[in-house]
Amino acid sequence: MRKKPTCIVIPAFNEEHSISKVIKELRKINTTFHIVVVNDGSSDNTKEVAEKEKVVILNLPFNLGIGGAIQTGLRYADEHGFGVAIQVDADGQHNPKYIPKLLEGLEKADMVIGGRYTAPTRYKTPFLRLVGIKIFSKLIELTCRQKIYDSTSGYRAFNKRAISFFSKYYPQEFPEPRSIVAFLKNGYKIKEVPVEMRERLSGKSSVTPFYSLYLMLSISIAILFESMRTEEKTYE
Amino acid sequence: MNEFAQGPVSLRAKGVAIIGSVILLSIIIFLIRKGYLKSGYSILWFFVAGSLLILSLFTDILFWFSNLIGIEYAPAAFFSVMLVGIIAITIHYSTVLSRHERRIKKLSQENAFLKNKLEEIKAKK
Repeated sequence: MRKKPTCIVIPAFNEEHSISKVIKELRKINTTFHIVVVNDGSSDNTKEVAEKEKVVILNLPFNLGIGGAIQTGLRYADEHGFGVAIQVDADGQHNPKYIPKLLEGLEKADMVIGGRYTAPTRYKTPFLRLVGIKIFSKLIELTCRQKIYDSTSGYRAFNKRAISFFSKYYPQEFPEPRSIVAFLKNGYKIKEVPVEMRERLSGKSSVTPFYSLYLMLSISIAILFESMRTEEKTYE
Repeated sequence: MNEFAQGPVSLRAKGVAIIGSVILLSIIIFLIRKGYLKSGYSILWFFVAGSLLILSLFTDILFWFSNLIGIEYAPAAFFSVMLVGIIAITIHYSTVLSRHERRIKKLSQENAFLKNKLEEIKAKK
């Protein structure tokens, strides 16, 4: 159906233990996927492990953070003329079996988010995270007039328009909710499809309760600021 | 004319303020001339140092200004000008830093693309 294969963007920061399994799983779903690993300044063997899998590796000279890493992948997709890109976490939380569902959603929207909270799931969410997600959801609804249940999900599909938009502007800090706001404010369409997330294969969440309160506040403010932007600021 | 009784600004205080402002202004001019301070960034500094010098040279302006904004103690008006100037410079720095961050991000992305291209070319050979 599509001439150009789908570009899979995997931002990876110190994911040597899970990256190869994630790539193998993706290949099982579709062998034509053009997989791009954005190695975001890892200090472990992520680069070497990914090289063995024969994927495109974009090595950033230092850790840009998730926002910069995703944008790197989307810029690559843009420059190479991909019509569809999918962002998948390197820690194995995103089950690739939902990719067809995400792609289906792209027929009606510019970006599709695989969200946890659009349907009941077994995924155990820490309480504070749940509160945060509810607050962000409300804030996005207030500022953009659209309900996005899981604004923190990094499981997303982009069409050509979305790839091109995010190549030019992708927020650096707290990019997941902010990119939604920027996208909606610029008149693009977002659709959310329910997915089940898995426990990460390796690594740990480093968020303590006090820190998550701080995060909640910062992200809320960041969402409001994002919605107040008057012009689409491009990278220079 | 004066709403408030103006606290006398002693000759010594005036002298110190003038000397301080002159030193600040000369440092800034020196840095601009040597090219250590890009003129775009130095305008605010120049403006702040200049206003401080004027206020310390002509205390009448300081009195007038402190009356205007309702500060009873004239030297405090001097400090408030200084503070506003420093805040303005800091905000300016934040914008410059943000711009630099954007540029560094773009450069590192370009760098990753180039390295990838280089690897591709090497692999083809």
